[in-house]
Order: sequence, then structure tokens, then C-alpha cells
Amino acid sequence: MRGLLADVNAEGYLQALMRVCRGPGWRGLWLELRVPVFTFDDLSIDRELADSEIWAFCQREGLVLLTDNRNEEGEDSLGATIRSRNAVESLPVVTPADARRLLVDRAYCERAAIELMEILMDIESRRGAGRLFIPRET
Amino acid sequence: MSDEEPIIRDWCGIPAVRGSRLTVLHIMDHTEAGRSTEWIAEFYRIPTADAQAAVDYIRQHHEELLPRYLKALERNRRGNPPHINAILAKSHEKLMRLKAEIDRRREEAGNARVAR
Repeated sequence: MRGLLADVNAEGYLQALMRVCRGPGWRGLWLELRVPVFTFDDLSIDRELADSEIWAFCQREGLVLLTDNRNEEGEDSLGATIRSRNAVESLPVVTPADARRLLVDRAYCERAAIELMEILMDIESRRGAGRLFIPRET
Repeated sequence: MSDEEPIIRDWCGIPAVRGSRLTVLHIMDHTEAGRSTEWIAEFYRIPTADAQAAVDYIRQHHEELLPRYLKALERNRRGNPPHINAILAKSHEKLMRLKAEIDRRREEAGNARVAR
């Protein structure tokens, strides 16, 4: 895995998660995981690409996509792409279960950040999982 | 719609801010929470005019958008199936062991510095 890519719709939520990961208590662990974090701008990714193309790009480049994408319907939606193209070796995409709450509930955000680190730590055994929601229980 | 309009249909047919990967359903998270157009523009790093167009669109089509918005929220909140959660839970113990090890090493390094 090359790193974590924040979708355009998730950059603000990534910042909330990173405040936990890089903050008191978790910084040492986050550094130990050695996961580079990228935005679309960092990698010059075209924001007009369809979900299916973004998913394929992430698989090709070894990136775990953090996305607030909720598209399930339509041939090119992320949900349909995962259903049709996900394979045992595919990297998962990670989606906040309740993105709004990340901004207003510190404990909830911390749970989500910890679970993101858990996924990244064990990423090789998370291949093929499709879409993973964080945190697990709300 | 002309090519210049800020609100288009994305590849899934959902109204979206042109060139942003943001559907109006994303913006609704924040209009429903009472956040300002300026806040939304800054949060998503889009021009204020585009955020305003999305807010206006939501205001004009709120009744038809709301069921779709609530459905998407509910789908995400259901989260992972139980068998995936069971697998993920195993990583938690491993992460906490790793954290404890890192904290211990840092503490030892700190103590060594004090002793010197």
C-alpha cells in the first residue's frame, strides 16, 4: 500500500481524523504506521473522473480511498463499481459511517480515527473487504 | 442546463457542484446543521459562489432531496455487516498492544534522557 487518499468530499473529515492521529496519545503510533496521506491535488487527480475511474486509480496506485461518497446507484457509482470489480486482492475504501458527527463529537471522531489506524495497520488482511465504515458501531 | 451552470448532474444523476465531486447531498449535511455558505465553501475548498448555488438548489428542491438524503445517511449508519465487524475487532487488540509497546519505548527513552 502506497498511502491513504482523501476524496475531495472527505478532505475536511480527514483533517478531523488526523487531528486525533497526530495529536496527544496517538502520535507515536501514527508515525509508526508510516502511512503517507494524499489529497487529489497532491496527486493531480482530475476531479471530474467518475467513481469507477477513481476506484481503478486507487487499485493501480496502491491507495486506500477515504471517501464520503454515498453513490450506490448507477453503473459508474462507487457502490456498483465495488460490487462488480472488487476482488480478493483489492484495497478497501473507507467511509465515515456518520461524517457529520466527526465534526461535533470528539469521542466519536477518536473512535473513527483509531479504527482507521487499525485498518491501515492490517491493510493486507483487509484486501477484498470492499467498503469499510468507520467507526464500526454508532 | 448550460455548461456554465455550477450545479450539474453527476455520473449517477445526482445534482452536484461542477468539477468538485461534491453532490448536493454532501452539502445537505451542513445546511441541515445550520452552517453558513461561507463555512461550507471553506470546508470543501470551493468558491463561495458554487457553495451558494448548492445551498440555493437545496432550498429550492429540499422536499424532493430529503428522502434521498435520509436514505443515504441510513445506509452509511448501518455500517459493516457483522462478519466484517468481527474481523475488524481483532485488529483493535493488536493496535492497542502496538500502542502500549510504543508508549513503553518512549517512556524508557525519556527516563534515559533524565538519567543522563
